[in-house]
Amino acid sequence: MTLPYGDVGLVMTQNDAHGAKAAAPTARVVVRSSIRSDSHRRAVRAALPAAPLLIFLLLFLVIPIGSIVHTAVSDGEIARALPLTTQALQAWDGDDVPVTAVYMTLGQELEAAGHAGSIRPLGRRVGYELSRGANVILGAQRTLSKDFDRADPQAWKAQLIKADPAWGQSGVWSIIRHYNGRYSAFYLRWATGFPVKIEADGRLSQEASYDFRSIYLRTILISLVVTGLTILIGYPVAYVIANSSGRTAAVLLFFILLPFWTSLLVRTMSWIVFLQTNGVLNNTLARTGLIPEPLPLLYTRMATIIAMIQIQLPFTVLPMISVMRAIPTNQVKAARSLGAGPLRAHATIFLPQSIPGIAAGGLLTFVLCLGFYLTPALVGGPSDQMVSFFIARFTNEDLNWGLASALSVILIFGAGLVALPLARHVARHSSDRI
Amino acid sequence: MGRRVYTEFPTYIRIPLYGFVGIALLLLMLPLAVALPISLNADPWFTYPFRASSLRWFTELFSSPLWTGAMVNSLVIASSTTVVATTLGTLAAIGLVNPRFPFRTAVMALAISPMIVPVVVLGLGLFIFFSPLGLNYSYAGVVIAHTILASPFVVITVTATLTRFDFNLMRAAAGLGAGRVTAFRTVMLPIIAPGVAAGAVFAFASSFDEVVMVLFIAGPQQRTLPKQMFTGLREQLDPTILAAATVMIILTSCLMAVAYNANKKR
Repeated sequence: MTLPYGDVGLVMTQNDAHGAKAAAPTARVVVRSSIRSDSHRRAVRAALPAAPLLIFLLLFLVIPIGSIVHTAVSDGEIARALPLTTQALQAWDGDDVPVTAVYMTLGQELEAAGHAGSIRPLGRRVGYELSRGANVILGAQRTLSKDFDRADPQAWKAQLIKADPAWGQSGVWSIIRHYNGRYSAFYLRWATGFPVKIEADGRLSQEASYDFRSIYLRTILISLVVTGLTILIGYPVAYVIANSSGRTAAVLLFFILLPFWTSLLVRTMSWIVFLQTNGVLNNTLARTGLIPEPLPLLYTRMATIIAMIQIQLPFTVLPMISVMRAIPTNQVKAARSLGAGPLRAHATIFLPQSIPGIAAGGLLTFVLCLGFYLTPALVGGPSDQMVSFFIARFTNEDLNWGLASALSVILIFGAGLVALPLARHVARHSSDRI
Repeated sequence: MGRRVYTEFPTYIRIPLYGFVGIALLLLMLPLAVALPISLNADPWFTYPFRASSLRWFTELFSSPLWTGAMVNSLVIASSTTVVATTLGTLAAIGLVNPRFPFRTAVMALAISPMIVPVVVLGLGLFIFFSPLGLNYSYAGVVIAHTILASPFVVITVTATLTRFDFNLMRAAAGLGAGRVTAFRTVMLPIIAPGVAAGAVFAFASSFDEVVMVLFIAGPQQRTLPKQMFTGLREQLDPTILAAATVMIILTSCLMAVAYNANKKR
């Protein structure tokens, strides 16, 4: 047997036919993998400095976003507190009410939940789906602490129905039956605007609730308007900057970049001072006699859009400038010399070539607008709040993390769809630069 | 690039174009230019003209324990964030400019993504993730949250600086017997220092200005300056907020000027 590779020979010196047969393929793998492992080692060495940040991002960016998705589909309160009841209810056909024995199972589990402290989460969860649901659950648990014949299922039933007539109807039972697992699409259904709340008799509740579809529409609409206006304002600005030389360009760029450097909060605050009822603008207008009484300028859609435009303008303009600077001026001159008017030469030669910049800036602005929270929260009215506002409210005030997570999942998904072409654009252009 | 002249447009288009751009830029600056001087108004009104001007609101800002506490918190949190984000971001940028870096584009996209992902979503994710770890309502939690937001600034600035760095210098250092760490410390770092400084300034400014993460993660102990301003803006607008805003703007402007000059000198 000849061995072309010296060091591999060590593997083959075993005078064992069986061992040789087994080792032969391994030998080639060893060589190949030593070449491969060398390039691996180089790649690992290249990646090594980035490891701390990557681990940090994995821990505090990727995992938290994963836990949002997990929270959005987690829905185990009912099954956790009432495991036997949900199991027993699988045999129920959904008409009228379940058999009397189930009342006893439920009653016992409610009592146990009361002791274990899981009754409040259960009540809250049922309340999301059943009008007055929290009262139905907590009231039942309270009534069960009174004295009655605990051996008789009929007495449990009577006691529960006495606590709340809802227990004599199908609504609450159908909810308990439905959630027999740890996961459900309930919050996602809620966040996508499906009606989720029912009455005790099982009909859809007429109670007023959040209209998430109109909130998404509003978010998209405001973002579109802001994007459109920043492009309309930004295009001439970018054009002038891209075609200015030296000092002029530097000064104009400074004005564009200034908002980049000043605090977002301070800029938003300055709009409040400027626009409020007794603010600078209203007072100036009133003193000049232009208006008889202060105009409601703050807490309006208009204020939101104007403040957002100011914040987003640099993001729209900067990509436009870098694309416009690369457009050769000779082509426009050539078009002019061939008889095209100045506007026509611009529209047919310059504008089409600046579209990549407009698209990049516009997309970036649109994606960033979708997630706006601070500006609408401070200068907008209640009907100008976008998705982020509701995520913050459900997290911090209503403590409904499931719904907040479901809204977040939809927001990231939507923004991601829009951002994909943007990412491709950035990747293409950043690879030229790096 | 040479001087570019407006050969395309005749005067009758150029003048309205200039006018439009000038007015647009001025209008965007107007509220800020109008609002900040009101911090000098002696009366608690948000209008011009003043009856008298005074530093009353600044005195109030620096004497009220609520505001000074918030300022100290902001400085502590922003400084810690700057240290962590600058270290992690600079190292990552060094890795990311290496063409051998595996999945470089994807990793770059991940490193930049905190700039695009809505802050509220990041805040909610960290809030959920932190709650079993006990990091909510802690300084460490806020610094981690701010580092996530600040690190892209460092990665971008340092990466841009490194594209102009001559990596042969590192080979020369290695040839002269320097280890990787020594070569980094004595050759690369001094050359890219202005870029690192600019990244650090951006990191500081982004943390010093941040309020949304604070709303999610911080407790009353970690009340920062922007949080204090945000509360004031939502409840009762008080000229002290304008004084605080003026202080914030002056501080970040100074830092930006320092970073700008450091980069210009190169």
